[in-house]
Amino acid sequence: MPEFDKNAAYIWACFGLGAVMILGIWLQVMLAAQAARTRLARLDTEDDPGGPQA
Amino acid sequence: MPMWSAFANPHKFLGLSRWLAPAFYVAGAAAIGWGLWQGLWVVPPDAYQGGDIIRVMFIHVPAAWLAMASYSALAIASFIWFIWRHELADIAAKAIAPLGATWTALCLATGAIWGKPTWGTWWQWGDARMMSVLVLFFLFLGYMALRASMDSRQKAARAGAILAMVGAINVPLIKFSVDLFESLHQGASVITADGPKMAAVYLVPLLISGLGHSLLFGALVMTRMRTEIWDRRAARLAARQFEEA
Repeated sequence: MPEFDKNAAYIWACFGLGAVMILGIWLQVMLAAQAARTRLARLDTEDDPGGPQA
Repeated sequence: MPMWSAFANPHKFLGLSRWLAPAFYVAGAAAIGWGLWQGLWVVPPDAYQGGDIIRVMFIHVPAAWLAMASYSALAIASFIWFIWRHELADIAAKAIAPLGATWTALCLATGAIWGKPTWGTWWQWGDARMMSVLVLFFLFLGYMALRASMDSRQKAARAGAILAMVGAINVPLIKFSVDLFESLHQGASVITADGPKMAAVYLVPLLISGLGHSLLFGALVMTRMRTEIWDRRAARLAARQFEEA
């Protein structure tokens, strides 16, 4: 790991916060997409045995 | 009819974004990773900017750029919906808002953390740049709250579009706040009339990081738009099945 001056805690706090926020929103977006896709596929199957549209 | 009307088709968008979004995720992650490596391991400390704390720039500045760019995109999508009523433009606006709020929050938080060792304070209420970015954050939250409070999709789209377009006046205020008003922030150092004032050793990783954040943001918007299209299709299917039952 790189070694920084007396401000190391501030630097790591910024990059740690960035990682948590960006990975967090990415995970939420992916889970929501998966849930929407699953719901549409289920409804599509009930509506038409041919399968999902998307 | 504008040229882009040909692309304002949700079915075409699903086909395009199916391969474009993963490509943006990979390219964005690679660019951010390279920028992080440069920012944390490679670039030297800057004596003028307080030593190693300059490294915070590689997360704070791209977040600030994305905050302004995402609100601009929200306003443009809202304008397109307002004039031409393209459903995909409304879907894009709805998709952008929470992501823009996230990057704006990241900008505010990393700015406060950077401010403490640099200026001796986490926050300055009289600082025009800080206040205008805080207003931007509340505009994103207000946009989402307003849409959520409406009982129909059309009303939500119209009210949201008006707020987004009116709020766009804040974007140039953020950009020029350091020149027009009192601020602890330094003046522009990347986009200036005389070209960038920053040394290439900092500028190149900063631009690559900005590109990475933009690509990742674009990929997330596309994924959220795909989700919204699927949700709207599912709602229509469920309503039809309910009527037939």
